[in-house]
Amino acid sequence: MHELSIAQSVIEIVEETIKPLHIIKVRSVTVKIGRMISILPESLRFGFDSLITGTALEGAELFIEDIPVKIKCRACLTESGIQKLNFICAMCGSTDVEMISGKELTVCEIEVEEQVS
Amino acid sequence: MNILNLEKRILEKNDLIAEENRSFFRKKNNFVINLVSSPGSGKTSLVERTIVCMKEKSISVIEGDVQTDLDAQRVARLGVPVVQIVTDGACHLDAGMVRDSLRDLDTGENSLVIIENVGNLVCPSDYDLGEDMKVVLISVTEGDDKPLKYPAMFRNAAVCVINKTDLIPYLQCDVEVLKRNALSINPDLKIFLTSCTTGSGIELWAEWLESNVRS
Repeated sequence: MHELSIAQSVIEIVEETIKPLHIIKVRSVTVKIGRMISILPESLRFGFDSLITGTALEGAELFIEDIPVKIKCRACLTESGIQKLNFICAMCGSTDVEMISGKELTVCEIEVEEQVS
Repeated sequence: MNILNLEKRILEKNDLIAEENRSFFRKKNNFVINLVSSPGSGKTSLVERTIVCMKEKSISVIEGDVQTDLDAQRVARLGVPVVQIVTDGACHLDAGMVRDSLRDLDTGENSLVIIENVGNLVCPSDYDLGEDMKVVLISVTEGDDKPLKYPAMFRNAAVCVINKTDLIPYLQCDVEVLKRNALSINPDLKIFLTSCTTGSGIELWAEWLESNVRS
């Protein structure tokens, strides 16, 4: 439900980044979203597409990288994925695990056209 | 064509303000919980019961609501400092709203601060408000599979309060299954069972809160 404000933040981050640079067009924006973040990719894309009109990002494509949950076992130190959101070590079955990925919510890169001087 | 690497956190601004809030609370030795649940699970009732049970302790409350100040009115009747944040339709509190609300609230020192979030088990899980921990409240009327449906919230919370236990005899909800589901998402969850109608379990919950208020 808060995808619109997340889309707005993505656009602001890109605008702040390109402001001091001689950039005439943003071709694409790539974001990473972990599975444990409550964002619906389609709603984010809808918000992004609606809000870029009239900005330096107009026409830019949004790429969304879906980052699965990965855990590290505190008992045997194995890193593994999880099945059906059961936070259990795939190697030893321990539940004493820490999440090492799956909470990403970042703008990772943008593809731009610079002004030719 | 050029690729620029940013690696910038989208909620960075929120998280910076959350850190400001956290240091504000730390300076005053406030223990701060961010209380989250679905609408109607009993957040405000739990806040009321907690205040009555901990009457010797200093408590203040930040109420979040989409439209009204009804919850703040309920809490104010119990004579504790309370401030209402009306989000005007937004589905969660963010750190900036909490920072602004602190201008109108005396949180006291060595005291408990309860932030009652907007009723929603999805969006509030992504937003750090500067709290010490998230407490997720679920009522037995919501079904024992709820933790599996909203894993992010149960993973991000440190404590789970299972409310409306007085209704267990009338429902299909299996509390043991509910606990097992919650612990499969987050084995470190501390679980309390309460009924805000009968008062059952409130004392244990209040004792635990008191033990966390640093003196």
